[in-house]
Amino acid sequence: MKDDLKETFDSYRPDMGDDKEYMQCLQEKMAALEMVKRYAEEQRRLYRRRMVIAFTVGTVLGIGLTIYILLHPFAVAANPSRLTWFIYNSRFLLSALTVAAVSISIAVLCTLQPLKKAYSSPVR
Amino acid sequence: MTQERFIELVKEEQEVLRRFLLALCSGRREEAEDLAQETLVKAWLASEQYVERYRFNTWLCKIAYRTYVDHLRRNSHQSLPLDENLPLPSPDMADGAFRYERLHRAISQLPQKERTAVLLYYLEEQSIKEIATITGSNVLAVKQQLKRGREHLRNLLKDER
Repeated sequence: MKDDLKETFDSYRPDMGDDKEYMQCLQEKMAALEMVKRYAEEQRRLYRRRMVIAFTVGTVLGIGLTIYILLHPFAVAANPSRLTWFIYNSRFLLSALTVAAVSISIAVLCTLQPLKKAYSSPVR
Repeated sequence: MTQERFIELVKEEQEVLRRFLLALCSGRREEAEDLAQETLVKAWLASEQYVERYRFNTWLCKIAYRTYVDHLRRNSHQSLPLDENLPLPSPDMADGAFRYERLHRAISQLPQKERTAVLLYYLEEQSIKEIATITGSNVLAVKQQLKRGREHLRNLLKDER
């Protein structure tokens, strides 16, 4: 049986414009997408690296501090007055503050560096 | 899939895809072109998932269909009555647009599923099984949609004469 709709659709050939121009436009979009993809991948890689560094530094300092406390049990006094407590535990407190400062610095760097890069990125 | 291979495959298929989307959008050229670009960009981003043993055209149609359905959902609150939706052709494309105006008008009055089935079958030359894969329906449902769509379209084209 003759399909009249097939004939109708076979003759459906609306003008779709210049193929070359269309493909060029598409390729430009793909190139832009590739750039964004590469940039996102680079950021992910940097983020992972910074996390590994932060983890390693935290672990090493944590272990160091634990060993230090175990080797100097006198550092944490049992029932001293406030001033003597600070004097007795000054090294312990200093170490704790150093660990906190290093961790905060790493966290700040991890947050600020990608932002700085994002604003100076060549991706437009 | 490499970028070169993707471009090679798209070069072969883009015109048919754009024609299909133009018909699916009942002649609304700008909308169809936007959908075609969105489809091809999505396809490129998902190109690693493409398995070469399947027809590239079917895979592309599946993405195009989903893009079209998403687009309908996004714009459902702004839809106009069908006749008002039909575009006013620009002077350079006027001849072609008027030539197919009757067909576009008839297509615009088909229910969405019937329209998709008919256009995939006739314009994209997809099999019923492939249409079922593209639209996420079963073969029996597609057969039914195609049968109804054909009848509706024939009647609509007859009425337009």
